[in-house]
Amino acid sequence: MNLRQKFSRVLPVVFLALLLFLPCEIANSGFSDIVGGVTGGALPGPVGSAAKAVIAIGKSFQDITPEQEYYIGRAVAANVVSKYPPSPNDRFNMYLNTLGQTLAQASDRPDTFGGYHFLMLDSPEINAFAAPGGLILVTRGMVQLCRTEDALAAVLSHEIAHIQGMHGLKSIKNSRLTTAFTIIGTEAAKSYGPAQLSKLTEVFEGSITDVTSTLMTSGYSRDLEQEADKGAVTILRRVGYDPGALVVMLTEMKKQLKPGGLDFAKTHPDPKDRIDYVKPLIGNASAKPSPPERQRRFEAVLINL
Amino acid sequence: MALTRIVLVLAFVLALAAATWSDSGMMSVQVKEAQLRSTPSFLGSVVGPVSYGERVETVQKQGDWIDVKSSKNLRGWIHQSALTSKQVVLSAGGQAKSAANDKEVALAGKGFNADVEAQYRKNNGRIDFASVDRMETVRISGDQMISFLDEGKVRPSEGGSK
Repeated sequence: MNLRQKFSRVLPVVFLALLLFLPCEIANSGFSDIVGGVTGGALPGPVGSAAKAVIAIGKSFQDITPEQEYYIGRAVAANVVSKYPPSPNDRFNMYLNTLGQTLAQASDRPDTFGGYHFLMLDSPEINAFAAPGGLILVTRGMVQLCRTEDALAAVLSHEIAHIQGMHGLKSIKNSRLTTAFTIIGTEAAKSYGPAQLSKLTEVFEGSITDVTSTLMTSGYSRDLEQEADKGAVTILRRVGYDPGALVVMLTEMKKQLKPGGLDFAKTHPDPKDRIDYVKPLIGNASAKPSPPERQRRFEAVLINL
Repeated sequence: MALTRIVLVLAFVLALAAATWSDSGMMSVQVKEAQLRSTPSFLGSVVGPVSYGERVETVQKQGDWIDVKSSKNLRGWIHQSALTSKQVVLSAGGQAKSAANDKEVALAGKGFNADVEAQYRKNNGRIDFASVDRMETVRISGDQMISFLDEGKVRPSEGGSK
C-alpha cells in the first residue's frame, strides 16, 4: 500500500474520531452552562443548544450581562436617592455596609459586577429597595424598626435575595429587551452611532422606569417576595444570625404598617402571610436573644440616627 | 500536490479541535473584580484578585465554588457567580467578530454602558448619581468582615455559600 492509499484509509477514521471528539467538547461545556444557569448571568440557552445558529443576542432578562445590570442598577438607585435623600450619617452607613457586604458574601450570588453597597435614606417611612446589581437602600424608619442587629440583618438579607434572584430585571418589559438586544446584535462596534445611542438610551430610560416603579409603587409578586424571604433565611443561617429575627421583623411591621399606606405596605404582601410562609422554613424556632457584645454595638450605632 | 493539501487541511482541523478542547476548561471573569480564596468558602482567606475579562483555567468544582488558575498563575477558589463560560472581550476600540459568535464571546461595554448612562444623565439632569458614586466607594475587606463577625459573636454555621 502506498502512502496515498494509506491516507485514504486513515482519513475517514480520523474524521470519525473527530466527530466523536467534538460532541464531547460540547457536552463538556455543560459544566459552564450549569454555572451560568445558576448565576442567571450572561449565558443564553440550555446545554446542548450550541448547534443552534445564534443571531439574536438574547431574549429575556437573563441575557442582560452583569455589566449592563450594573448600569441599570446605578440609574435605578439614582432615581430612588433623588426621591429619598441619603443619610449623611457616615458612621452608620459604614456599619450598614460592614453588615450588608458580609451577608452578601454568604449569598448564592456574592459577586455582582460592581459589588454590593448599602446606604441609609433619610426618611421616616418604613421601606427598603434593592436596585439591580447590588445597590441596597434602607430608610431610617426601617432601621429604627429593628431592635437587634439580627433584625437588621434579616431586612438586608431579604433585599440581597432580591438581587440574587434578579427580581428587579424581571420587571423590565420584554418589548424593551427585544429592542435593546436587536440594537446590540446588529451593531458590532463598541461605541454606537448617534442614532443607536439615542435608541438605546430610550430603551434604557424605559427599563429604569419599569424597575423603579416596581420598587416604589407596584411591588413584586407574592412568589418573588416568598423567594426573597426564603433566600434571606438561608443567608442568615449561613452567616450565623438568627433566622427567627425575620419573623420578629415581620411581626413588628404588621404592628407599624398602616393598611393602604404609601410605603412597604403598598409594595409588599401582608406581613401576616409572610410570617405564615417563613415560620415552617425556620422550624418554628423562637427568636434568640443577641449576645451582649452584638446588642451593645447595635445600640451604639443607633444613637443620633 | 493533493496529498500535501490533505495533510495541511488535516493538521488545521486537528489544531482547531485541540484548541477547542483545551478551551473547554477556560472561563472568564464577568465582574469588575473578584477574589480567589484559599478554601471554597466566603470565609476563606484571600489569595489575590482577578479582574474583568481575565481568563481562568478551571481545575475542579465544589458546590458553587470553582478552583481555578488565573492568567497570573494564582491558584484559588472563586464563586461561580463571578465567572462566565463566554470569552469576555475588553475592546480597546475593537470590534466584535460577528453576532453569530455572541454565544461564545461577550463584548465588554456593549448595550447599556457608560455612554448610555451619560446620555441618560444629560436627559435627566436632576437625578442624583453623585450619591450613587459615593455609595460605591465603600468597600469592606475580608479581614474587616471576619473581625466584625468575631466581635459580634456571630458564628457562621456553614463554610459559607455552598
